[in-house]
Amino acid sequence: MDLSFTPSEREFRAEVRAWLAANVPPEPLPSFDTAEGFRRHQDWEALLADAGWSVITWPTEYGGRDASLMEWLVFEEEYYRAGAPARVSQNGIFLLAPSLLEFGTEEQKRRFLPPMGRGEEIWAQGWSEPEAGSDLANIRSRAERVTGGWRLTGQKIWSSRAAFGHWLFGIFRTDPDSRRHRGLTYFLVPLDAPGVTVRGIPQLDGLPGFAEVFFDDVFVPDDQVLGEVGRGWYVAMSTTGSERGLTLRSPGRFLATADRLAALVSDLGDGAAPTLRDRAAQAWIDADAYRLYTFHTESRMRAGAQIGAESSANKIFWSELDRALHRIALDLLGTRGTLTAQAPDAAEYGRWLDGFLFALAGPIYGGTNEIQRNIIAERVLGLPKEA
Amino acid sequence: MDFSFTVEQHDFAAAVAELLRTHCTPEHVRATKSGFDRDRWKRLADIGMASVCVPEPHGGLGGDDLDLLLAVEECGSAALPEPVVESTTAATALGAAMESGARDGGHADHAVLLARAAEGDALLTVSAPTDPYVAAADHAAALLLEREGAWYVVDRDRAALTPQPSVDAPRTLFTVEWDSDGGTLIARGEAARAMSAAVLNRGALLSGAYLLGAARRLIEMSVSYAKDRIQFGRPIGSFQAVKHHLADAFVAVEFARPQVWRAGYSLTSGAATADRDVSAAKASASAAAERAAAVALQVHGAIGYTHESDLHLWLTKVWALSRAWGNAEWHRGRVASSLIDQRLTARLP
Repeated sequence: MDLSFTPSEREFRAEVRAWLAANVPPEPLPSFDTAEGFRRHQDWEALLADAGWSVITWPTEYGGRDASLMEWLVFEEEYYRAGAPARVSQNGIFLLAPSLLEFGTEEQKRRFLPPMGRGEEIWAQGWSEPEAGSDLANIRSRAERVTGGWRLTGQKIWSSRAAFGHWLFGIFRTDPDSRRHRGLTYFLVPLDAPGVTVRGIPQLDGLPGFAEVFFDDVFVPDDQVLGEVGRGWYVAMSTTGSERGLTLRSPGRFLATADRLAALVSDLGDGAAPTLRDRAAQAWIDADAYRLYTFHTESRMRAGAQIGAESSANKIFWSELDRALHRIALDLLGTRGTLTAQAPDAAEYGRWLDGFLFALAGPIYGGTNEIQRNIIAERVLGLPKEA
Repeated sequence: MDFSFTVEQHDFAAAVAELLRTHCTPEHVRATKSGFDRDRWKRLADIGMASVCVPEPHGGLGGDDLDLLLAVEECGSAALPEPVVESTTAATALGAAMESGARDGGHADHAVLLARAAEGDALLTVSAPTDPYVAAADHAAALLLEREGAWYVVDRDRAALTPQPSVDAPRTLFTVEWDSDGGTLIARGEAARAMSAAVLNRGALLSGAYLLGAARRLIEMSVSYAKDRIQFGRPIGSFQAVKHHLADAFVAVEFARPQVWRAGYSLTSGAATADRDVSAAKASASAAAERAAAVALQVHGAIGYTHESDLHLWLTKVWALSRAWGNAEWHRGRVASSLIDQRLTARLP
């Protein structure tokens, strides 16, 4: 056991830290769920990409720097520590890109990865449907074979970034006689294609962080099918595997939040009730635990292990941790914690409310935590499926 | 970064597990009414369990906490009655005191005592700075006790022991009374403060490792029971309410384990964050084990509430050790003091 960073990892950290210190905007950008904020976040992605920091784990030929998983974890720690902007490109770079790299043709990789990495094309996800939420295999949106491609009909919902984004990745039923996980195909669809209608859905904060997307006989050419026809579920699960596993929510963001929470308790002094002090310590410990668990996973992966169903444990842990961190902060702040960032008294505290509302979604998206518990119980512990 | 154990460390744990599968079955645990089986302890000592952390000049293997963690987890998995946490902590403290030359006056007796402890022929125990009672004092040849800022080795026969029967009957507890002239001073002043800190950290670390093993076993037993037990015409393990209890307990244990390992690394490497790392580990291990125990009892239903079921062998261990060496709240308090009062949020690694 050697829990230390190599000299080159330490050097890498220093380089990231220096660049972020010089480039992170001093004032937070407006939310990327507004037209103005969306554009400003795209500009930030371009700045990141110019310096080679936007997609460091990708191969260099597509705009990455072939960074190791450990370097990526270090990068994330520094990114959130510096208070850098949220990643408007996250659906694409963290969910679609791993599938593209694994299943895409060379042409597809060359076509889609570079503009995704530069934030020029922002991707929305098209998994859920009104009748396919936790029961995702109940997908009804369909695609019919036509000359040179497919015609898509149906509806997707809860599509993050679709309100202002450019492309959507999603799964559609290509075999009308198929059931459940079979007969589905993974498509890449431009949101400005004829027949696509996007309607933003205001979230708890009032902004359209997700949308419903209607497909009315939308033509998609064959070269925008990812992976084999009929194997869409398999391709898609490889991405939700990454989402739950490591790549969407690295420890960095929770470590930064936990340190801010500890500082908040310190600053409040005797104004922090002993029970809140105890809860804050617990949450800080849990953020630290998530980091250690991730490093342990990284060691296992380097030794050749695959992450499988245990990544469900990850998803439960970080989503409940995030909710706890923000709930404790709001409890510490009392009524002041309920002020929005526009309130004169909110000061930097408005961030806690924003973070709280964002954190509440964590146990729901990416497969609800109840679904994750079923996966752990059945695939890790070996309990029988429900009758 | 290498978050893995050596082949030797894995092999040692596997040897301990193998020995316990034969000599520490639930029937054996039940039969160990006194809490100490000399034959089993000697067998464990023969493969190195009592000597890992004893310095080589005193008949030990000169290892460290990382050499022990996986093996102690196996002890917890078997609900080993013998006081592996206290004896290892005592032997390590005495060895360190002798190595540093901190003992006051020449006591060749201690060298003999330590060598016998490493061989499994004598048992040592130690008072936990957090607890009023001394575990396994009745089985010990000698006790390491703290008084007014100094540490002593006290011959068991020179101490008056008052039994304090507890819920975990095999883990015997005692109030100890002794005259200072009945003990031999081994550390005072700064050396004694260092010994107190080391004893507390090591006891908390090892009890945390033991709890991980006990919790793991409680989950395994409950999964097995939930697969077999039929109600409403199907195994109860097919119901989501049962699955989710078990999944939550599993998650708690999986996330506590790397913390215990990191704490071992911090202690071994003398890290500045060692106190906080140990406390985070013990807080998480105690809470995870308590959760596993509560879930296990609930999943087993009424049968788990009986003496007939083996479940209580692990439940009682968890109830005892999650509180011994500082409970979760005590350790979170130590973490809070570092994070919040001293604003020390730098992490290891």
